[in-house]
Amino acid sequence: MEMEGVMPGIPGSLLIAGAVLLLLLTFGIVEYVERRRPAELGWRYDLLRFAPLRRALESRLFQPLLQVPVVGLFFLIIAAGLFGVQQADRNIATVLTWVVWWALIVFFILFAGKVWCTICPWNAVSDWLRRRTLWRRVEDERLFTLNLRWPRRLKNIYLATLLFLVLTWLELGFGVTTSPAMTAYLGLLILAMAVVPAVLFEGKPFCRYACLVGRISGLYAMFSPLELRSRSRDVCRRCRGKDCHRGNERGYPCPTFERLDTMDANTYCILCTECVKSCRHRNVSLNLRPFAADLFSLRRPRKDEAYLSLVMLSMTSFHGITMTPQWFSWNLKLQEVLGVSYRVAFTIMMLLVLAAFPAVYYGICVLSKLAAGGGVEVSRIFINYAYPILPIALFYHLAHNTMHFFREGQKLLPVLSDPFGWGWNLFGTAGTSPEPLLSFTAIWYLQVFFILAGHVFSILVASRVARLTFPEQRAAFRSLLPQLGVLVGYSAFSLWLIAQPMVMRTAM
Amino acid sequence: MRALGVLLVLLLTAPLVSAHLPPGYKLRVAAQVGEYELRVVLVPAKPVVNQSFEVVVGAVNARTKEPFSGVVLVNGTPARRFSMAFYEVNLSIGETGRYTVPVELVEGHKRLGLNLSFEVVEQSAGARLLLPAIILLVLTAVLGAVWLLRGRR
Repeated sequence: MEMEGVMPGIPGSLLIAGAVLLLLLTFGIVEYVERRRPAELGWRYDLLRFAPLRRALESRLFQPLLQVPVVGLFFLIIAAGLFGVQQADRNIATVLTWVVWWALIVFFILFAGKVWCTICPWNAVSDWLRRRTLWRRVEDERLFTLNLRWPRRLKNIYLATLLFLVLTWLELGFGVTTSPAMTAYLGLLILAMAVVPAVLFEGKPFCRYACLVGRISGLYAMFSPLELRSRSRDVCRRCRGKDCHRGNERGYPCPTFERLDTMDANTYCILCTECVKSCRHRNVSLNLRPFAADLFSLRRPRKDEAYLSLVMLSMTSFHGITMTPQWFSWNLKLQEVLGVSYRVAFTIMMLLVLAAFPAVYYGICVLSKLAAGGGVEVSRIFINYAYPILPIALFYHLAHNTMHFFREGQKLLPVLSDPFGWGWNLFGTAGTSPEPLLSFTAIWYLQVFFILAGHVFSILVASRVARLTFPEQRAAFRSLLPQLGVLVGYSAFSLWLIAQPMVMRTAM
Repeated sequence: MRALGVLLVLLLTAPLVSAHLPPGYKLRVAAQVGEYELRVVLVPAKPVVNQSFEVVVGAVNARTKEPFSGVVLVNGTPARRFSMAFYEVNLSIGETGRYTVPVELVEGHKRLGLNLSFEVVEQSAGARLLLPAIILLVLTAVLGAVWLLRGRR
């Protein structure tokens, strides 16, 4: 029986069926892949062949028209958080932010990559302040910025990783998701963090290096079937102006310092479409492509991205753990043993999970090196094999958010009519209790499907990474075996997590 | 310059605006019964008449933060579960002041009770705007500095 605020996990039979399928798929895929040459995932379909879409993206009005309503919603959230009733499920600030946006953004990334960055309100406000206009192209010299250089030491995504950890701590340890006022404060704080670098430094260093949403979605977007790329690399090579990078009278320079002739992953593109406007050769394409294309090609693996990938896996799992009934007893035991408060015990457990995942993974990388007979440094194995973890993290995130959105998403209807919880009834939906969007059974099957899909992609990516890391096929296969063990372990853990009852975000 | 002007105007008018915003209400309650911490939240009664509120009481384990899973008696009768940790209290309050509600937590043979006393106090909009005002102040200072320095570069 459902207790209000607690969602039951998948039933035992589905857990066992999922685990069996997990093992069967692992063996089946490895057998299939290892017998075949790596297939090329080269097909692309350029959406900009449709003239109306191309014209829309070339227009300077395109982005602001999408941004304005989102910025409006953002300030509604801030106002409701500050002035509305301080109860999570009766205030639009918490419902729209944590139940709808935070849950749906992962679905957005899965299908549309970095589209969130296109409409991001933090990015919009900082752009408008910097340009002092909503859509016009202002000369670079007239931009409201000091144009300082971003410090070399910060040209990585460790800052974003740190901010992600801080947000996780605030979310779970401080209960931001259940406090409308704190949700508003957090929104304003991120706004300040986006605006200050935009007016101090050249480009948009916050988006490139520090935005936790942008960087997480950046790594996840390697999986997405949508990409913005150059149509022909030859045209780019012949191009002297590099307008996509430097900008011209039609478009601003790339805010995240990308160049179309070298961009080979979605990670740092924020889909602002400035390059579509500025490219004189109309050499920009917005492609549909196979899922996980960036992960299969993996051109430039980086250490900071590898660490973020591991942090994402450990923190999404930790997020799930804190919603299980076991969490309460583990936390209590730790409080008793150490004589500390709930929050200290929480922080210790978070740090333990944070350290445990990379530590186990490092051990597995050492085993991979030994199994392959050496030849490649452990650090290289550590970095390269961190990418196959991304599909597991992404799909666990989807499975987890499926429960949140489809069981709690309907709470948006009453708060739309009464966003502040002041007793309004703007659309006649206030006070209603609509049925959840999907039944538990449908959600359980979806969750198991997501975990298995993530596992399948991670195995496929891992076998490709093995071949990219080890030139010799036998060594590649041997190095893959310990990694398969860890991927099965992570996926099985994800299955176990979704089998636990979960406490919902607006329950308290 | 215009943006800076807007921010400055916002900053200067914030105290005036906040003085005219309707006050919010805050509860002062710190009750613990046995190992359970009781929280009280005000929910505006529908329709809102004379700032009337309904009260919900939440019971969570003070050490584990686990919601209380037994039965909560308010004024001697079982309270309806409002959400996971919260229970409806059949009490409407219309103004600031001190209120007392007898609450009992019943779980198996265990019975814990107390007279839950809480105070409703007015919270000016200014108090809620403190942090946003600080953020606005920092932003204005940064934008002001950028505006000054841009002229010299």
